[in-house]
Amino acid sequence: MIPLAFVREGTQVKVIKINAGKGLSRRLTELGIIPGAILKIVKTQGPGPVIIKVCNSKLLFSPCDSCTLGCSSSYGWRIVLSFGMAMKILVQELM
Amino acid sequence: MKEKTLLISVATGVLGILYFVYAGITLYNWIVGTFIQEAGSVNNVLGLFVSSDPGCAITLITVGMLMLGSLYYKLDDAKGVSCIFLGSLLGVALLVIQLLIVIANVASIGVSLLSGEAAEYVLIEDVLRPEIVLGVGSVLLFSFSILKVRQITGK
Amino acid sequence: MNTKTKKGKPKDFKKIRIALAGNPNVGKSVIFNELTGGRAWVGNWPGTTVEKKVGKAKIGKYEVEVLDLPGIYSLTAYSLDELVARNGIVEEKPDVVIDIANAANFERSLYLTISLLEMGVNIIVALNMIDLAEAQGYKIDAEKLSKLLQVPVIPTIAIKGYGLGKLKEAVTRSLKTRKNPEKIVDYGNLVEIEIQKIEKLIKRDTELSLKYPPRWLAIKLLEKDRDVEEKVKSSPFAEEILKQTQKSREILEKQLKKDLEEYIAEKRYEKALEIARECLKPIKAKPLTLTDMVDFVTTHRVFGIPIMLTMLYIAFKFAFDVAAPLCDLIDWFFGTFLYDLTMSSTLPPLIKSFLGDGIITGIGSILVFLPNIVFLFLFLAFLEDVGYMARAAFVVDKIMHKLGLTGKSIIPMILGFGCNVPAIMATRAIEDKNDREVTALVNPLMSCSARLPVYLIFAGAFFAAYKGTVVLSMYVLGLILAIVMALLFRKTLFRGPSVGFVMELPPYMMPVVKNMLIKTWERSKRFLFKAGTIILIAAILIWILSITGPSGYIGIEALEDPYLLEKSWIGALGHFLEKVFSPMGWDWRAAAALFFGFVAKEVVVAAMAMLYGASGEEMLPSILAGIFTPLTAYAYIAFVLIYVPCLATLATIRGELGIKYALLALIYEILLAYFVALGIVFIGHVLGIS
Repeated sequence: MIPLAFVREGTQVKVIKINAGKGLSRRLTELGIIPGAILKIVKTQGPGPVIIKVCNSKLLFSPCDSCTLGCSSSYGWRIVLSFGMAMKILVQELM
Repeated sequence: MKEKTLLISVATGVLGILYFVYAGITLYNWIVGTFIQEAGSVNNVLGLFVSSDPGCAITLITVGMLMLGSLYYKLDDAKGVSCIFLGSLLGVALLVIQLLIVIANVASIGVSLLSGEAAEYVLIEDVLRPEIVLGVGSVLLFSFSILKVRQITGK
Repeated sequence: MNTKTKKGKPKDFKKIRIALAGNPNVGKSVIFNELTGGRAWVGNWPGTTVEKKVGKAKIGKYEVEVLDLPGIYSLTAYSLDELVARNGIVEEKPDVVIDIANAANFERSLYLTISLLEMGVNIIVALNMIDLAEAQGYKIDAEKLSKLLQVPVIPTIAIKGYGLGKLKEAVTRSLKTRKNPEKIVDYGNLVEIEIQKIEKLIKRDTELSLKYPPRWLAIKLLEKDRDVEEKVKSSPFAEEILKQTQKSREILEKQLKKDLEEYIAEKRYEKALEIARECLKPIKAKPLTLTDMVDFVTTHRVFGIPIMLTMLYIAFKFAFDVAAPLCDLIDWFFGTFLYDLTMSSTLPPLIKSFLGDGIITGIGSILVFLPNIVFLFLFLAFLEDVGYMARAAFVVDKIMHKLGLTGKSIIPMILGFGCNVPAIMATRAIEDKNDREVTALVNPLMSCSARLPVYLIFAGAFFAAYKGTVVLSMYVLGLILAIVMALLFRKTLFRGPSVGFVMELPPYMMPVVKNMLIKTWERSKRFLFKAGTIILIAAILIWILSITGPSGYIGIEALEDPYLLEKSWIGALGHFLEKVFSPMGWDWRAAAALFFGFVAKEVVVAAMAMLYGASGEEMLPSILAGIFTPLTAYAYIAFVLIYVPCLATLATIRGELGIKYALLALIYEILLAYFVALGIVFIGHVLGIS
């Protein structure tokens, strides 16, 4: 279990825990980032904001396949999380 | 098909380098004009007039960077196509803006005539510029890149 | 005019109201504009800084009032926008709410839909952007969705106008029905039992139960919703209800071993996912979208920032160079055409002067900038609607953080180069309070277009060959000072880590021209308002203060004769300030002109022209050359750059942040300006320039 901020680009992760206050957790929930959600790290550049794509596994489609550019074909928009937020979301890397 | 891509790659490379070259000259002009009084600025290279605007230099560098970047990522890869798409798009944008500026300058002459002032305008200086001439090359590359993009996104 | 509908209710007497709700970026404004033709009245929700937009539409045979609610993701009491939207629905009681869902981000939109249904709102779902969903590889079964939610669902592509006719029909049909709140989300046996206990108590208060659905109140109470708690407190049964709530919460938190609020929110989201899963049908999955490809480049480690700088450059070239002929035209119209017309008329001299030197010159001097501002805002609106701005904010965020700001500060900063008034209003988009306040406070250091004439006149007079560079140096100086102040503020008054932001990156889209124009107009309007009122008053004031003085009325000759002018109020003021500015070597006229710049910085040049007896602004440079030296001139324009936000900007800061911040801005800027100008003169002397 590591903070989202430390995950390498292109990795797919599952959200385990969110260490945020009420307001923040709620915001994240609204955007689909809840424990159990599958995310893909689209872009991360050292300590700084992170771009992720929410590919929820509870839906029909299998999580995004790898492709030359990074997460694509998907369902769900990309979301930018500030570094602070990314530190508060604990995830587990998949495959 | 393979040869076509090779040809385009070469064209992209040449154009990209040209953008870089003119960017460099613009920067040189700026440094010379601002900090070193005596030396003259290079205003006309290969028939194109070059300004001394540092902002312009940055935009030319950006376009050149993207074009050369597309070669780095290879033109038959989605990444390379993305680079050439955006690079040529920006090149076209610079072309359009420069044309708009020319039109605006002509219009300004019209306005000064209204108030009875005589005014002079050397049109050719604003037209024979890297943004416009290289921009034409960008237009061609842009149409190519659109085809490639359509191919990749399956539209 | 029919006074009764089919059901016999006199609808034409009651105002028909509908509201538009939905996530941000789902096309709400597009639908609003389509319904109302863009005719809207914009104000604020009472007591807040949240924008309230109301328009009129013709739907079927009804004249309908359309209320545009703020873009929200849910209906909690945590965010001001959500609270305002929620209370807006309850207070304004719209007959129908159009819930605009994004087909391309379906379950997230459904979260809000479910929240609205729980609140018992009479909704219609407009399923927008179905073309985007298809491009991303799936289709949504609208009929199935309608059956599951038990409300009408209309697929739309708002930008193309598709589905809007059916939407209007659905609105008319829904006007006649009243939706009864049902149990939409099952929160599990444990929680449901407690909900019922609280609900029973609430139902005893018939008044409360009529105003809000009891089940919704019960759920919200369990979620510790502050706003609902307040509403319940005024009930005669408040004590029992709240006591039971407390008991229920304790029981549940022990049994669920989890935070109750989180649990409830998750259950709601799971319901959204469940419904989504039932209605989504994958079609051929597209491998890559254009957005993915472009984003690869725009958020690239290496290319990202150069691309952003290029966009910035294009924005300014467009705003200044391309708009130039229009500026010249306006300048000619006011400065030459109207002015000459007035002066050669047969009106009495006092009136002629009032109109000519006061009003026409005053207004003309600001309207000259209108094209610059409009063009800048137009281009920015284009970048925003295309979707690029979000990427720009991402790209600069890291750097902005080091400078004490945030990525989202970039838009207000750029807008500030046009006019600080709409720029400061744009800081609303910044979530973190500290970030927002700091961005707004340093914004006046972004050199707005009003200061340009001052730079140009002085640069032209003293630095002819380097004119461009001097002007550029002012912009750069402003930027550097903004960064320094931002860092300073962040380390002292506005300490605290940045709470962090969450931002969506919407797919790139061809912007709708109409929406771009509307957005541009709304922002430019603020500038015009400032010009139309405040500056007009300032121009008149200067005029009056120039022709009267401590000894009484002097006469309009004072405008031509500097000796007479010295006896006026302006002269008195100038002499007073002269002592303060003596180290900089500015004479009483320059000092007096600064005073007028407080009202609006554009006025400084006009004031100087009058004070130095220049019959036209063209004469000014030669006159100035005799009074200033290049060094003191440079110090002067730096002072103009920094000192005091103009009156309109101050008013905006006060409106957005409060009077404390307005005063803070006023004070820090005056001090900063004085010391920087002093510093420039000092360093100049040390270096031997003078």
